[in-house]
Amino acid sequence: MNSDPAEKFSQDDALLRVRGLCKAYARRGNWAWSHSRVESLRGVDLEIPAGESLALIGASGSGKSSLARCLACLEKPDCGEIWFAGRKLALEDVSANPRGRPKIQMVFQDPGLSLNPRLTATEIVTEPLLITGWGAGADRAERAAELLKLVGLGADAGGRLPSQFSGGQRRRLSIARALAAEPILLILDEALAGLDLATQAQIANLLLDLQAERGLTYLWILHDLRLVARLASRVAVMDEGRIVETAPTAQLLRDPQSPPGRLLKESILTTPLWIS
Amino acid sequence: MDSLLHVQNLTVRYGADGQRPKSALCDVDFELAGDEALGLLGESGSGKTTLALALLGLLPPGGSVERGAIWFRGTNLVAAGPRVLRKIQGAEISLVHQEPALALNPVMRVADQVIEVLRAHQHLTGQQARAKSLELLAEVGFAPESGITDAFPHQLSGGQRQRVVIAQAIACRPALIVADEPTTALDTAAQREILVLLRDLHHRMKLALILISHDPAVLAAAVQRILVMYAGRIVEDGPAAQLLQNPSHPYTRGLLRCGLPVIPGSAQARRFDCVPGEPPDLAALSPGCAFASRCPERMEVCGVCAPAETRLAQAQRVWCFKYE
Repeated sequence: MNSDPAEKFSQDDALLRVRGLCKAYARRGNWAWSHSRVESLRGVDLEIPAGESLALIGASGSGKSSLARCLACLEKPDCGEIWFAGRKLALEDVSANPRGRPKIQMVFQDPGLSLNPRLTATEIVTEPLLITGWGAGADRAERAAELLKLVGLGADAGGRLPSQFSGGQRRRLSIARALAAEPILLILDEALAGLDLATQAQIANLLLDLQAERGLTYLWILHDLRLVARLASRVAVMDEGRIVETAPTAQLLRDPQSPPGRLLKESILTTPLWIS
Repeated sequence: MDSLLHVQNLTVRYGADGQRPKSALCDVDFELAGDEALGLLGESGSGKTTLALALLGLLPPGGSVERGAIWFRGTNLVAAGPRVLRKIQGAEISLVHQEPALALNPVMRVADQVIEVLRAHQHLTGQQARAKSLELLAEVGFAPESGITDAFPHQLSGGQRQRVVIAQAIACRPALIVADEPTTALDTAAQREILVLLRDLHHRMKLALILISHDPAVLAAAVQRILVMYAGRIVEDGPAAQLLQNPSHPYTRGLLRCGLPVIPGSAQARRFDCVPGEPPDLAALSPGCAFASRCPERMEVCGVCAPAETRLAQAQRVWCFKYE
């Protein structure tokens, strides 16, 4: 294993620094002349200090997931800079860098789509270990069992397929997979969406405990501001491919400065609408 | 009796012979007045959707009503034949699904989809149906000049699609709309719009509303009365304000505690206080209270037999031994 890159940069430096990041996707129309380009990111500037919980919020289509995918090495940005742990990262995606970025891992919104339905839980958490060349066979098996235990999956979970788990357990499994490569930054792209309240609370608690134990840095992508209030210390508001406002959570929820921030605040279901 | 709907001891099971049958609903009993907005609150698997489908006579294959009745305007929907049901489905009781993209036909223009509903239930000429459909779309907020009436579903946002589904649902002036998690697939701004629309329609058209959600804040925003469901049973029933501020059943209390603060930004512990464990397996329920295995206030009697209904106040009912 390489030495931990987190040790190489000074403490007051941000763990992640993004400068002017751009990404456009080609959209195919029905005809040659109707092809177009969708600019998802139009110069994103963002900084996340080590150990922080930053929430990225914004309407659907504002570029939150594109940014996450660029950071996690799933997409290649067109221009801009990504600095991570004091080093400038090459702009590339998995086709150029098949190992991806082990220190930046992502938990996806829908584990039904992001977990391979034909692999058992053990195989799913072992895959990142194989890709990053972690240990020998026996060590990997032991590590896989450890990871499953860490996220609260029982001893019998290893041999089961994703379809044999409940929604909450699948969420736990995708967290275990993301932790396998020992990341420093975890990107949680709507990782709590689509869960019942009780399950959502259990998964949120698991992630908070893991963060406290391992000193992880979290980039939350959330649409529910009530969760933002509880989980993030700072909030960045995204709109049309740019970060338009960054503020401490309490301040942003009290008094958002940007129009998109105000719009989001108004959408919270606060007082009952019902007056009869 | 001035109730529009009376569900009596409704018990629904899934699973054919050979399989372990799942008890999806067990002795569900409630009444709904013609001008009431009722919320169903519960986790997934608590029977909310099964109840909605049973009301429309749309239980999936393998599901059957074992016992009980659904009285709607003097007709028992459980015993009614397909011809009677066909007249009620979509006309007198209509359903708004969770996922509007799946409820709409992707290759049909929006106005035509509303026309299809109208002509299935009413004898209208093409011109009349078209005029009526534009009227309905205006009622959910789409003016004819907006161009949305001639759009295809994929050209609309999630919130717009859900409005089209609602226009279909109100097409035949139903007495009751059942909305099954209508805002779950939407972002928060669209969520609020749809709730406001449903509440307005309920007022304006004087129709009864059953709103299903797992989020107490969604229900708080739009209904007057809430039924809390757990493992196919009703565990608590009461006026929304009273139930949300002062819940009685240990499950309701746990659910509201692990829920989210209604006013964000207030100082609070970061960790969530939550109900431990997972909902029970509906194929292997114990004879006692279904919530007993997760209940922090469990007593000996809870594992032995199921609690009966206890009336707390005028309109508040709870199923828990603590109150018997």
